[in-house]
Amino acid sequence: MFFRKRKIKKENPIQAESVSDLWLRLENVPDFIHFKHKGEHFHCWVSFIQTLADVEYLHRDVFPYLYSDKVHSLADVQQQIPIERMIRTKDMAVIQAKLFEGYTIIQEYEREADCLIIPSVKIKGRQIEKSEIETSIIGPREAFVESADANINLVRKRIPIPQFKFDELHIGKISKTRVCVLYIDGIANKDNINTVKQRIRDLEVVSMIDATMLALMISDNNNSIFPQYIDTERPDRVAGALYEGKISVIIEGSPNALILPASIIEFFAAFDDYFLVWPIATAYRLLRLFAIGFSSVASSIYVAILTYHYQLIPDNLIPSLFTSRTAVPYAPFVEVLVMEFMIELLREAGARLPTKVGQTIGIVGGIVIGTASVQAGVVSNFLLIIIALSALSAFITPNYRMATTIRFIRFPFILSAQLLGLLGISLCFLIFVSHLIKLTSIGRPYIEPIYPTRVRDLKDTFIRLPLNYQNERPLFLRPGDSKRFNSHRAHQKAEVKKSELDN
Amino acid sequence: MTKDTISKAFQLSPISAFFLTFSLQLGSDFLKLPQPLIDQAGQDAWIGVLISGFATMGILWFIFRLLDHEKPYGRTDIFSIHRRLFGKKAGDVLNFILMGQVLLFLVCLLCTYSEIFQVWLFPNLSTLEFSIIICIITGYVVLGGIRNIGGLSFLYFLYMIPIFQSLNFTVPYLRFSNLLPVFDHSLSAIMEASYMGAKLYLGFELVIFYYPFFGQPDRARKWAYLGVLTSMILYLNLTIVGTAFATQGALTRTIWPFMALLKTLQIPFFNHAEKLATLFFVWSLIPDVCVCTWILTRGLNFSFPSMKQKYFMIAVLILSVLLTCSLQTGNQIRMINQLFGLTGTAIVYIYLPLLFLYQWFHKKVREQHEN
Amino acid sequence: MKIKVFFLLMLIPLLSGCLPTSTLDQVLMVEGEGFDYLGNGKIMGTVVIPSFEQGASQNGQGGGMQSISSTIRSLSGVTYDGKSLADKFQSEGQEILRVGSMKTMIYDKKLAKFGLKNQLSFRNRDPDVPSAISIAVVDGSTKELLTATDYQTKVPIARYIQHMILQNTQQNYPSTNLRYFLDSYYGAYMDPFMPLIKKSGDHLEMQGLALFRNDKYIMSIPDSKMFVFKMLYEPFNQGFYDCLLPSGKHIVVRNVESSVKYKVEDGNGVSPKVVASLQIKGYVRQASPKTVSTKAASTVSKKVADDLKHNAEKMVRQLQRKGVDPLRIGDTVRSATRHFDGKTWNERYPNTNFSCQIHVEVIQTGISS
Repeated sequence: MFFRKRKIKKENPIQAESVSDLWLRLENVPDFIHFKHKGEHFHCWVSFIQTLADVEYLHRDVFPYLYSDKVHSLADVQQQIPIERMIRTKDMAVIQAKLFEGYTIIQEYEREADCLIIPSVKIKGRQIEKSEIETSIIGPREAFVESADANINLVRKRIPIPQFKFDELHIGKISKTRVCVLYIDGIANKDNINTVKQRIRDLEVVSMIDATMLALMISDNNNSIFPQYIDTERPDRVAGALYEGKISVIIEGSPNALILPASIIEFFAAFDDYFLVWPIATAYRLLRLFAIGFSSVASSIYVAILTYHYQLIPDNLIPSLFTSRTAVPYAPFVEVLVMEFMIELLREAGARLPTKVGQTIGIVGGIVIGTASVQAGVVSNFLLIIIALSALSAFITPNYRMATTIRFIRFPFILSAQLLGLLGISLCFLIFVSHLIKLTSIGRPYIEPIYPTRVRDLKDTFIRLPLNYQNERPLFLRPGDSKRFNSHRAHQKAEVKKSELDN
Repeated sequence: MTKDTISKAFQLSPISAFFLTFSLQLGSDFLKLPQPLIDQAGQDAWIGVLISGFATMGILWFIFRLLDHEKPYGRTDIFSIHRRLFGKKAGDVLNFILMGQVLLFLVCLLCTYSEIFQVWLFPNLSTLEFSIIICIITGYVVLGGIRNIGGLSFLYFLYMIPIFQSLNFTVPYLRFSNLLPVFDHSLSAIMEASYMGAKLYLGFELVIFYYPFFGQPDRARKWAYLGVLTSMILYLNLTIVGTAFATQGALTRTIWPFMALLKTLQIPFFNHAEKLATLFFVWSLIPDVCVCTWILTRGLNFSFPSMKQKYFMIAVLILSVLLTCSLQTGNQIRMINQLFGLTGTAIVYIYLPLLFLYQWFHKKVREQHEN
Repeated sequence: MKIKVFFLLMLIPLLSGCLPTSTLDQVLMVEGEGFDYLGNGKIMGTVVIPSFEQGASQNGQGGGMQSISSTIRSLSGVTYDGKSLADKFQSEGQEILRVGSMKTMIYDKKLAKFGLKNQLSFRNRDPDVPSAISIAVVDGSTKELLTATDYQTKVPIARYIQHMILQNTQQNYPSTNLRYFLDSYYGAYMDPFMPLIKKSGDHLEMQGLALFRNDKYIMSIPDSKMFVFKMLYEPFNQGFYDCLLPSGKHIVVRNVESSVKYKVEDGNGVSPKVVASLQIKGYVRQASPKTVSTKAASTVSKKVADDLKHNAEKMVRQLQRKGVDPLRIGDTVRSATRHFDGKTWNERYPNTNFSCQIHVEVIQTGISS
C-alpha cells in the first residue's frame, strides 16, 4: 500500500494547467513549432506539431490570411479563413488534445488561454489495400486501414442512409483513443448499443492500441478461451453485419473492426459462402464444421484408442497400425504430444518469419522433420497422417482467433484421453459444451441457434438456405426491425419461371 | 417471502419442458428395455409399455391441474404447496421426504451409470473418481441455473438421435415371429407388466419442482405431454425391437438388452459399436443429475433461506458422492433401483392424487369458511 | 479461489494412473480359441495370436529397430472345461493377453458331443468379446487346425476361418455366429447349430452344419443339403442348388430370391400340421446339354421344385427322428398358436406333420440357349 501511494504522488499530471505550462513542457520537443507571427496589422502566436500537422496546407491556405489587411484580431481570423470546424476556446483539455491531433493553435497573446484552433491534420497512412488475412476468392477485396475516418468511409459507402450512425467515445487515460460505435438506427437493438457503450466507457485503461485489445477487455467472460466477438478487416463484412442488426466498433489506429454480438456458428462461416450457390455453400460449411470436429478430437481419439480401447480398431487396420506402432518406443500420449508440439513450433515459426521464409519453414518442417521422425521411429506414420490432417483442418477455420482456440482445445482433450480414454474425451467435451452454454456475448447467448433453439436462425448456420428464404434478421440480436424484406414478394419474383413443359 | 414470479432471465422456454421431461424419464431405463417386462408379459411386453405410457400422461394431467390450482396462492411448485397446505413444519417434513426421493434418483443414476461404464469400458474405473468428476461438472452447470440444464437436456436429445436411429440398422436381425401371438397373456399379467412399465417413466414428475420456471406454462404443458409421448414411442420401439431381436430365453439372461443390440451392429471405421455408444451415455446422465442437484439445492434453500445456495449445492454433491460410493456391487445397485421404483410409483400414483384431492378439499373448506 | 485450486490439485493424483492401459502394441490380441476334449472335464485349449510382419518395401530406408511382431503365434495347454483361455495362458504370454478382438472359437467333435454349456456361459458374460464371433465344430483336432503352418494363405488362421464362414453364410449357409447360437440355445422350442469345418490338406473346407440339442452335438447335415436347410430357415438370395435329375443330369440353379412362409394348424394337438410354402426365383447357372431350353423353362422349374420338396421333407423327417429342431419349427408353432402348450412339445415334435409347397420360377436360363 505504501508503495502504491508513493507512486501516485510522483506521477505527473498529464493535463497541463495553463497554456504557458503546456508550452514549457513542449520546449524540448523537437517537432513542436511555436513562433510569433508579426504581420502589419496583426500579431499572433502560432503553434503546431510539425509531424502531425499538414505544413504545406498551412502555408497555402491558412497563413496568407494572417497577412490580410482585414485581420485585426482573432475573431477576424476566424471570419476570414474559409475553413469549417474552427474552435475558439479557453479549455485547456481541448487545446492540448487538439494540438496532439494535428490542429494548429493561434493565440493573440502567448500567456493567455484564449485560442483559435484550426484543423490542419495531415492525413498520411496506408492506401486502402487488398485484404490479406481474411481473403476470399470471390467478392470485394478492400480492407480496413489504420485511419478510423477512412474505415468509416469504407463502411458508409456501403450503407448510404441517414439511419447509419456512429457514436464517438474517447478512452484511455493518456491516449484518449477515438472509438466509434457503428450501428444502423432502427435495426440494431438499443440495449445492445447501450451495453457496448457502457462497457467501453467503464474501461479503466491507460492506452488502447488495437481493436482486439478493446474486445478482450469488454468481453463477457475474460477467462473463456472462446472469442466472444468477431474481428474483421473487411468493410463488406462489417456492412453486412450492420444490416443484420449488429454493432461494429472501429478504433483509431486499428485496421480491425469488431462485430458484436457474435454467436459461435458465425466464426465458422466464411464470407465466400454468401457468394456461392446455396447447395455448394452449405456443403462447404458442413465440410468446415466436420474439419473442426476432426481437428479438435482426432489426436485425442488416437491416444484413447491406442492406449485403452484396442477393441475398437477395425480388423483390417490392425496390421498396419500394429506394425507402425511397434517401432515406436513411447506411449501414444507422448508420441502425440511430441508431434503436436512440433506442429505448433512450425506454425509459430512460420507466423513470425517473413512470408517467403515462412513457407520454406513449412516445407522443411512438413517433409523433412515428419519423414525423419517416422523413420527414426519416434512417431508412427499413422499418427503423422492424423496430426497433419488435423493441423490442416484447424487452419480451415475462417476466423484466426477461433483457429487458435481450436488448436488449443486439443490439448485438454489429449490429456483427458490419456487419463480416462474415450470416457475422458466424452467428459472433456461435456465440460466444453457446458461452458459454451453458459457463455454470452454482450448478454446474448453464445451458441444461440442451437440453444436456445431458434429454428428460424438455423437457416444460416450449419446450412445456408437461399437468400430469398432469409427474410428475417437473426432473433438472438433482438433487432429493432426483424424483417429484412417482404418474403412474399421475394418469392413471387423468384418464381416467375413457369414449371410447365416448354412454356 | 419469495417472489411469486421468476425473473425473465431465469425462465425456461416452453420447449424445454419437452427436453427436460424426455431426458428425466429416460434416465437409465432405456438400456434395460424390454427386460423388466419380459418376466410378466413375455412377447406382450409392448402392451404394458403402452398402457403405462398413457397412465403416465393421465398422471401428468393431474400434476398440472394440481400446480395450476396453486396459481392464485403463490409460486406453483410443490414446496410452496406443501407449506401452504400443511404449515411450515409439516410442509417442510413433506418437502424433505420428496427431496429424499430426488436424492434417491440422483444416487440411482450415478450408481447405474458408473456400473455401466465399469462393465463396458473400464473395469477398473473407480466409482469415487467417476462420481467426483461428474459432480464437478454438475456443480459448474448448476451454478449457471436451470436454463443451462435445459440446454444440456436439449443437447442430450440431439446426441441421442443417432443412438436411437441405430435401431433401424437392427432390422435385418429381427424375427417378428417372436412377437406372436399377440395378447397371449392374461389381463393380470399385462397389468403387472404395466406396473413395471410405469417405473420406466418415472422422472417426469420432477416437473412439480421446476414448473414455475416456465414463462408460458400453457405451451410448456403441451411440450411436456409431447415429451412423454416421445419417450413412450421410443420405449415402444425399444420393446418391440428388443423382443423381436432375441428369444425370450436369451432376453431374460441379458442385463442390458440395448447394449446387446448395439453390440451386433457393424459400423464403419470402428468395431464394437456398443463401446462407442457408451460415450453418449454421459450425456444422458448429466442433465438428470443436474436437475436433481438443482432441485435439492433449491429445496434446502427453501427451508433454510438464510444460507447461500452455493454451499447447499456443494453439500448435496458431496452427499451424493458418498452415497454412491457406499453402493458398490451390482446387487446393491439393483436393490436401490427397485427401491426408487417402488417409492417413485407410490409418490406419483398415490401421494400426488391424494394431495390433489386435499388441495381441492382445502379450497372448498376455505370457501365455506369465507361464506 | 484458493480452495478451488486446492481441490483441483487434489484431483490430479486421483486421476493419474488409476486405469490399467492396454496399448495396442503391448497386448497380445487373441483372435481365435480352440478347444479339444480330453475326457474327465479336461480340455486341451489353444489360442492363436496373429503375427504381423512389416513388408520390406515399407521400411526401405528405415533406421531404428527392425520391427518384429508378436513372437508368439499360438499357445496350448491342458485346463478344465469352462476356463477362459486368455487367463490360463497369461503366465506364458510376453504381453497381456486380451480377447477384445476375438474372431473365432472352434470346438472339436468330442467336446461338442460332451456339451458346450460351460464354454458358452462364460463367453456370454464377457462384455469384451464381440458378439459376431464365428463359432464352428471341427472334424478333427482344433489344435492341429489352429497351429498348422502349411496353409496356402498367409492370413492369420482365425481370420481365415471367419472369412470362410462369413463368405459361405452369404450363400448356402444360414447365418451363424455366437449370438445366433446363444439365442437359439437359450430360446425355447428351438435348437442351435453351427458350421462344421475340416482341415483338408493345405486348406480348410466347410463340411456342413453341426446340429445341437441344447448344448450337445447330435448330428450333422452335409454340405450338399445346405440349400434345402437355408431355404427353410430364412429368406435369402445368392444361394445355389445342384439338382440331380432322375436322368442323371445336373442342373444348377442360383436363386435371386427365396422366401418362406409357415402355416400352422392344430398347434396344441397331438400332431400339429406345419406347412411351409416357399417362393423361389432363380436362374439356371449350369445345365447338362439338352436339359434346359427357353421353351421348356417351366418344366425345369417343376423338376427342381419336386426335387427340393422331396429333399426338404426328407430332411425334416430326419430332424424329427433325432429330436433336434434347428429350423425353429417349435417356435413357429408357438407363434401361431394361442396358449401354446409348451410342456408337451418335446413329445409332440416328432409327430408333427410337416409338408412343404415349393414354387420355383426360373426367370432366366443364361445368355445362350
